[in-house]
Amino acid sequence: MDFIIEIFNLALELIISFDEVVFEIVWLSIKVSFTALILSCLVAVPLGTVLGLNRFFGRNFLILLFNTLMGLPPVVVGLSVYLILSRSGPLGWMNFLYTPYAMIIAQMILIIPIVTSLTCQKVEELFMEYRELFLSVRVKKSQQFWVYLLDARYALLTIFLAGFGRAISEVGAVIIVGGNIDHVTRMMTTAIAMHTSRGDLSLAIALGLILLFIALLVNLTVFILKVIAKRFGYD
Amino acid sequence: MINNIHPTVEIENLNFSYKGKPLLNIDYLKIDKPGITVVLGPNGAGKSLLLKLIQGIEKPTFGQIRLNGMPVSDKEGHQCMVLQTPTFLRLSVYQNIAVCLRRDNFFLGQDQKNEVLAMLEKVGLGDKINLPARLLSGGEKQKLSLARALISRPKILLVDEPTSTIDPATTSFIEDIIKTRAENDTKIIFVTHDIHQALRLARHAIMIYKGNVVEEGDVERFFKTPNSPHTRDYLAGKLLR
Ligand SMILES: Nc1ncnc2c1ncn2[C@@H]1O[C@H](COP(=O)(O)OP(=O)(O)OP(=O)(O)O)[C@@H](O)[C@H]1O
Ligand SMILES: [Mg+2]
Repeated sequence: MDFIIEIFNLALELIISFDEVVFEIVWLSIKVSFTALILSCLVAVPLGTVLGLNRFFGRNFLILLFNTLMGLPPVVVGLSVYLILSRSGPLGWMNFLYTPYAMIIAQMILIIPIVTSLTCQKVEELFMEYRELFLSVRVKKSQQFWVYLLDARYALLTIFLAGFGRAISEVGAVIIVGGNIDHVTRMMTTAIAMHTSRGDLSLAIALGLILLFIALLVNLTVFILKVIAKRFGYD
Repeated sequence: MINNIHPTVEIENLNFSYKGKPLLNIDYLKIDKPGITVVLGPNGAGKSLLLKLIQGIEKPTFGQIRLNGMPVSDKEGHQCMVLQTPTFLRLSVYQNIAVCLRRDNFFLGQDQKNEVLAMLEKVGLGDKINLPARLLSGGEKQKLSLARALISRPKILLVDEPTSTIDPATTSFIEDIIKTRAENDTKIIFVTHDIHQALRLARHAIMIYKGNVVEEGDVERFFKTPNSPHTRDYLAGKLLR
């Protein structure tokens, strides 16, 4: 018992003293996952909206595909991105393997299906809600696209946070394509895995607590967004 | 013929069926007289359905509707409709109207902004522009819904029970807005269950019963000497669906 209390104390000390090693890792994790999120949303939001609003051949197949990809095992994503980026792979010439770029790409593959599927679901729901309204006042198709996104803004923020949550807590993909290189591609999750296996528990626990705190923050933000939306009658 | 002063609605051989059951069936109906037209009939008769078909919200199973000689399409046209149960976007009162204003760019110009504000002022929502639209009261929602349809200056305006949940003062306020629009060359077709309102506003009445037009004509005559037994029963408060 004393042993556990002691390493927790050491872990808290690392956090409170803003330990350089710890926060370098935290900062890199946030930077990578946030970049992956932004880039993913640029693709996934328009894609989800188009899928949600239009009826065309193959649409159901695409929806099913993205829904399936939502549960993609991160190690499989890691392996695929590794094969593509490895020296002899099709994008090997970019020299992205074992850099943060590779980790961003891997996380994008994890985030895009989530944001696409959830955006599509939301927009389809809104399409049913507003079809008659838009026809009754003859809002142009091109105009409707933006109105849907504007109307869905609270839901979209929640969807983005879900994507961010998946990316930042994932370990399988980034450890394969990033390689957990000190000062270069060492993320919170990969560092936790490594330090735990080495028996260096205080650092692992410090990072684990921060990761938990970030997850808490994400969920708290979602909760606050819901409360605000409800107050305005926007839920 | 295209007539700029009195827009015409011409319905020919129209049928709307759901699961093989006809809900609306009109052999021929032409609405081309000046003045407001009222559509009457018991609950479930098909009044809202008729308006939605004219608006292009619902597609007929077969048959034709022509507005000023042109078939109804969901892309072109100058008709707007105030729905019986309005929905509002998760946006402010101001934005709810602003998105209905047809424009080419995403952001409104200053003239258009002023136009929206003037419209809100006109329907008495001038002090609520920044309120989330979904927090309005029932009557305020109906005003906003009307304003939203008026802002794009439709040539034909279809209004489905505009004052069903509204107090007497607000009712006459809304009636005034509708009357003013009608005097400014907008053809208005509205649905109401309020017979006095029909008399106050309309010049021409259409009675629908079980999906069929059973009577139409000049309002005064319609109420004084109804031809159809259905109309007589309806006016006497005896006609159920
Ligand atoms: N899109 C639709 N699909 C199937 N049935 C419909 C559709 N629209 C309306 N109906 C049915 O058609 C009938 C007439 O509906 P409508 O809304 O036109 O009635 P109404 O005359 O407006 O009645 P109320 O006075 O209660 O508003 C109803 O039985 C309704 O269930
Ligand atoms: Mg109705």
